[in-house]
Amino acid sequence: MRKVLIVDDSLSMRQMVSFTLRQGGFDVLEAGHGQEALDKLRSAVVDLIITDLNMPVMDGITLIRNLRAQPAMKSKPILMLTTEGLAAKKEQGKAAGATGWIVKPFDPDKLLATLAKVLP
Amino acid sequence: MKIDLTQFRQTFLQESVEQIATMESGLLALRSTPDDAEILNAVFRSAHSIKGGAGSVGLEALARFTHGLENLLDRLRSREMALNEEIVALLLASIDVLRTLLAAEPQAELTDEARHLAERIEALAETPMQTQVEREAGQDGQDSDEAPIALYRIEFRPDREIFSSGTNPIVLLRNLAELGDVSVSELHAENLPPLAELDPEHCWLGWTIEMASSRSEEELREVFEFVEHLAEISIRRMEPAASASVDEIAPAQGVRAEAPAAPPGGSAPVAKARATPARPGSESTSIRVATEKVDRLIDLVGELVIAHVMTAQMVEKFTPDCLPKLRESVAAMERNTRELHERVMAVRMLPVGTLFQRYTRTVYDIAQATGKQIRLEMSGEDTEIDKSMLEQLGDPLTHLIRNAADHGIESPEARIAAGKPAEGTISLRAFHRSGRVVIEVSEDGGGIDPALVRARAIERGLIVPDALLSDEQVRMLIFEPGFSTRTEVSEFSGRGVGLDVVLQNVRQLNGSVSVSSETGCGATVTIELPLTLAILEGLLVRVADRTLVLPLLSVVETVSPRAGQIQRVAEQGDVVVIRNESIPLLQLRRYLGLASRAETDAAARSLIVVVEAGHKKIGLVVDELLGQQQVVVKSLERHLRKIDGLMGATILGDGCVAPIVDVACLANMNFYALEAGFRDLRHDVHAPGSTKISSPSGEKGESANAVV
Repeated sequence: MRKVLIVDDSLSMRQMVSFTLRQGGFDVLEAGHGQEALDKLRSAVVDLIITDLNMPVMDGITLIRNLRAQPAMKSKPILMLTTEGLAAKKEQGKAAGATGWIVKPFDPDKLLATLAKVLP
Repeated sequence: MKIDLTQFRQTFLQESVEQIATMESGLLALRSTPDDAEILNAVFRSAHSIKGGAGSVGLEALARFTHGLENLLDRLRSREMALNEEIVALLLASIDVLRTLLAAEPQAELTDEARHLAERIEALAETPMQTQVEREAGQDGQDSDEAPIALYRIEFRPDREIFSSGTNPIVLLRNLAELGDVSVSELHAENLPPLAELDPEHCWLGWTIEMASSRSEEELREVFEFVEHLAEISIRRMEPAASASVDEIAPAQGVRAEAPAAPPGGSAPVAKARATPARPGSESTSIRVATEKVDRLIDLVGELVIAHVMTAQMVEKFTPDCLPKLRESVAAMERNTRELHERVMAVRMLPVGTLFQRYTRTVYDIAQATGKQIRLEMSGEDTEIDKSMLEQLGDPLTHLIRNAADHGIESPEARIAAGKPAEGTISLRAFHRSGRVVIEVSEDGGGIDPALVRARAIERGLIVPDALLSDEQVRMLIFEPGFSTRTEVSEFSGRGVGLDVVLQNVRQLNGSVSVSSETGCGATVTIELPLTLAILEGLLVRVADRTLVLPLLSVVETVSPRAGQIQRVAEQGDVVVIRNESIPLLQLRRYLGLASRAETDAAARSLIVVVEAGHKKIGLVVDELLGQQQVVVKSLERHLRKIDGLMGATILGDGCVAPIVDVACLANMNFYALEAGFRDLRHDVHAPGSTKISSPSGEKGESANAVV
């Protein structure tokens, strides 16, 4: 089963994404912020990462940069969760190496479709 | 597949309450430090989270309202705008709207007032608020079953760096192929360097695809949505008859419609179709627990299982020389159990800071409305207290804070005239004192004048004009129902109801309230509470043939009185004199109806346990001390009526039920009257209102106000 790490400081958002992913047949790992994500990734292998951008401790942009600097994570698909209207953030995410994005509030079907779009 | 996310509404609502509290305390803090980027970021993040979640769980009005708020906060955060008092007031007002929206029915629309506020925020943020209608309008029908099939020629030349975004071009080609029938695919490998020079982390290839598809060009372009900045992409529609002249459509013209977030068929309508039965916010209670706490619990359970297995093995192959080892492993189990117990209780503990936060706003509102200058100081926010107690403390503290701000703190003019700084201070402190949690609300205002309170109480008929009361007792009268020293009714402190609620609520939590004040210098109301209601360290005592539990925290000492140490004082009954202090005595045997007066006198040489509640000490006469152990408090009220003097019962190791003595209640009784009343009580036991419990052993066959 393919595994996805969802990084978001909002519990409800994590729950919603996790639920959607499980419905879609994915195994899910959760982290509350960038640092926790890095910690989890030390011991777990995932196929894809979905991350929020605005988070305490370590934000999503820093997380993406951090991951892209790791050899094993160089080509891992990373999707950012963004709200519309914050185009600048999206550009920053792209520049940091995000593979794509999901707009919040998200439509579950569209979320799964987006995953299919980037997963090998 | 339609996935319904409205089931997460409850979590979302709960989380949003916290987010709103963060926003509110952040905004209030920003008034004094408007440049604190950290706080502004936190406020923004909260608005951002609420907005992000609201749409997904089907709370459209909330999502719309937060949208404008988020934009405004973003502009503040990026320093495009400066925060001023007007904006703070506006943002605080919108926090009230958010609260209302959270408490409202999911489908509720914005009130006119809220809409007006949204418009003002929008005007400030200068970014038009996208309405749901517009968003839905942007979503054009994607049913393209009947769309004519067109022939497309797609050129896809990724940048060398495309791998750095985690994009796999083959995946994109595969996705593209799923949208139609690929007739030609051409690989461009002309840039591929010799193997020795090839950097495998760069992309050297490109593709040209020709395909027939019923999809629109936009849909094909969407395949490349994420790589538009990382590739040259051109999509051309070829004439059906493979006509020679082809209109080239410029690539990346921004034709792609901004993907709408929640299309009409999405989660929102599902939410509407499902009539959610209960109101949000009142459905269930849950506790969020730090992962470390849970991990430790799991560790402990693990250790307990190991200890149990070891013990079981020893019992299985028991020989007498195993006994020391068996003792050891039972002791290990006991340690584990005790720690597990403590940790599980700790799960229910929350820092009082979560409650304190909201009062910054309370004080701000009162100060704004009354023209007073008030500062709220807090300390001990990390002090932890049982979750259910924390919830029940909310109202009493609100009353106290309001009272302090509204009645305690004087107007700036009056303060200056009294030689005090114009700004008044209310302090809210929490700390632990001898195993209890103490919460203090103090203000440096005018104080509580006993003479005024007394006059008012007489006028209200609460006391008789010549009542003999100490200043402290007089001040406690402000907690009596129907007491109010202010003639005009204020918006904030209500109509003289309120403070009596404080006392009632705190007593329900087995706590006590006291008040101290110096006229002209302010007042302090002190609430003392047990750490938790569910468990206590108990001293087990024997009274006649019954075992009782005394809360160990209230036990001061135990004495076996010498002759002459017990004296009978007129109008007061028996007292025991310890180090020149006369402490009233209560014969538990008699109080519990276990012995006649003659028997009691015969047992006068038994032990006295001195207990303390508030500042009052009493001596309880018992027959024997049995030991000390942790007991789980079980409420009696589910089975019986509330019995004065008992706070509950527990089940001992041998399965017996032992009542737990409510020391605070006993200390507040008038013993003399009690002693005098014993005889009457005996005749009164079957009267309505008294509790009759038949003796479990049945041998006494008598009953009193509380037979155990």
